[in-house]
Amino acid sequence: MSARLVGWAAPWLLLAPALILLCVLVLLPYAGALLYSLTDGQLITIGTAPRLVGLANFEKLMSARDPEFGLVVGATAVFTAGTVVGSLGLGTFLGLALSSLRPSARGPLQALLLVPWVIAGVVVGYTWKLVYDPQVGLANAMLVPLGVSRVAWLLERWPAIAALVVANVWAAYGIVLLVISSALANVPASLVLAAQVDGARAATIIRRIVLPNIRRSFLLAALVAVISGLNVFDLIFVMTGGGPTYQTETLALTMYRLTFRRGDIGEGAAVTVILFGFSLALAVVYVLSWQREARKWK
Amino acid sequence: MRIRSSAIAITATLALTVSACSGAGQPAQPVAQPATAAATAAAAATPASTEPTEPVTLHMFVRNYMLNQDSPLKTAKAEFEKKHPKVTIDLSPAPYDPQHQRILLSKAGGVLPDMFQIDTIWLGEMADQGLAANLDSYYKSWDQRSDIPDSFLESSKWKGSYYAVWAYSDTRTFIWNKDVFRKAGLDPEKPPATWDEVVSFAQQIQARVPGVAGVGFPAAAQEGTADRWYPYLFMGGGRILNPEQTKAEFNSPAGVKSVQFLVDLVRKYKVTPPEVLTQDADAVRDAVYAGRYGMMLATVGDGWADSKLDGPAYQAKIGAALPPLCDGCKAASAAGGWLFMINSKSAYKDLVWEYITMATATPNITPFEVALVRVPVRKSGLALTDAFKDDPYNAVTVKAAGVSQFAPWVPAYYKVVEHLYTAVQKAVQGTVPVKDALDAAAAEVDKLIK
Repeated sequence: MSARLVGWAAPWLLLAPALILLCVLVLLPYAGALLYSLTDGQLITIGTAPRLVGLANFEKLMSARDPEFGLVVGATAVFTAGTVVGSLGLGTFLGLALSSLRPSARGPLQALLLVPWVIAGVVVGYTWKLVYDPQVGLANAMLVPLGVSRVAWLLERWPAIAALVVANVWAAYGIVLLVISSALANVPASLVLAAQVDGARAATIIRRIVLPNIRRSFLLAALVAVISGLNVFDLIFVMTGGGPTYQTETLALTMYRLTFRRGDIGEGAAVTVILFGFSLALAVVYVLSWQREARKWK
Repeated sequence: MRIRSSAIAITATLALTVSACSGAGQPAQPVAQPATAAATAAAAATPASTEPTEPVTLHMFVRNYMLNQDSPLKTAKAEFEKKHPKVTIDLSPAPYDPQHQRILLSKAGGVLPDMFQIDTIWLGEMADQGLAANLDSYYKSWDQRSDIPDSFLESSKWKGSYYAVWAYSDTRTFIWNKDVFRKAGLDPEKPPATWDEVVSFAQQIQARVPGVAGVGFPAAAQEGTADRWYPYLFMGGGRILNPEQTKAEFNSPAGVKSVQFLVDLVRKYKVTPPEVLTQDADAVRDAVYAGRYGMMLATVGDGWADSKLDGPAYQAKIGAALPPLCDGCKAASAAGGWLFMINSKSAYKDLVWEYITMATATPNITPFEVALVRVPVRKSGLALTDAFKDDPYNAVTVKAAGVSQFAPWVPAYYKVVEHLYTAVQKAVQGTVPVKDALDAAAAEVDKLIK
């Protein structure tokens, strides 16, 4: 009986420190944010109890004209999708390329390729802002000799979002590369050798052997890429500030603007809750996919 | 079953982790009139504070750059702690936005600042929220009060009572890059005096100096965009709000005319690149210094300290003058600045007041104002032309301060200004006619300040 009890309790006891930290540092603040999203909380009246206003903050967000909520959600969706596709593609491509090198060359190159990932978002933002500078930026400096006229990269909605995606892919592909490289190291060499002996071409080996073997890691990398797209604040804040006229504002920036620029804590918290909802939905999708994969491997 | 509960736990954990990673004041007043006679430095005579019997620490929330060089806060701290051995002054620095946030958040708990430094536009907000102590009784018996120009005295008040003490001010002037002017065949010592001349000079620059934009102004989603527009609004007799601060007036004909001028620079004359929509005031100023823009309206002195140029070298490179005028307009500019407030909950108001008077006394604060090219807020400081002799544009600064007006310091200003710069952005972008953009913003502002 006692052995069964210990058996039941042991995992929970081991999990307890992490769960307590998670509750205190994540769950409680989120509960607070959820509560605040239902109030008229203001930064300037932070010392006093806010009034409950139900779903008024959500209604306000949805019916806002400057900027329209759809504009912000659209920018968030495109930016996130671009980041996911770009960082997964680049990270996987580089991972595959590195795996074909000798181990002595692979290590230093991998370390070099991880540099953008370890640089602070603010620094990345300022660097890319300079790259996109219409007068002295590297981007135009490369295009002008080819006969292309100077481009104001951050001036219009779609070019600006595309420019932000490129910058964020540069900043985020490193973690994908790391995850994919680890997965590639575990692909059975015997399978690859057997395929080579059978005369399979490199593309076939990648498509038929390598990629199926790293699918689970690929899912994890995709989730990390979603995180680095959905929640990016610093890079966009530095590069465009969400402008011009909110054209590149994502939900993370809206949350900041409403909470700290306007002082509307209630509305800012409502954005947090919406962002949480998106994250939860994505996490559900990930877990379901992960379970399906797990069943296949049983 | 176990798999399902694990899945739920993992789902919730992931969702949480993903999300957790996401990161009635007074009407605008002229700022200062230049002192007409040399005033002597006001003696920092201060009322005797009650001496604490136990060790006391006074917490001061101040701006970060105030502790960097020639810090009047540090010199006053040394003097104050010598006079009051049981008192320790704790100077806590912060950048602009965090300073605003931590003052407001201090209401909810944490360190209670006995004194805090505020931007002039925060005055109404802090006073209205009961964060700032009423200083009427201190002002009444303050011997330095007569040394403060009326405009600064008025802008220390909220609803008729004093709530703050001015530290230093800053004002806007028109600056130009003399090298660019020379290359364009323009007289580097003659700035444009009218809006027409701004256009004409800018066109000549663009025609003769490849790669240089004629004139710049900030139009990013930032307060500086509105701030650099105000002088053009004020010179035409326009106001941001009505004198009672209860209704928007920036959509007046003067307001439309001033924004239209900015729009025309970009869209009609094409002497300003549309990229200004992504540039804040510092970025445009840096571009003027680097010779990528010919001229702009800027905060006087900004960038000089960073440029490491001495007075003559600075004068050879950059010119400064009063903002160019429109037809029928009067000289005008805009000003801002920083003040000190005492926390209404501080148990040591007398001691804090004494410290503030020490820190802001002209002999103490002048070296800081000289180093950062700030505008003195005392008559005695404005008269110290010798102290500012290395500043080639001190006379221009003082003159600009004399015709400057402040932004309104209503409690909702930080919300108001978002509508203002967004209206300017929309107009410059060309998506909305100027009048429509300003009217829409005015309707939103009216809701905020009614």
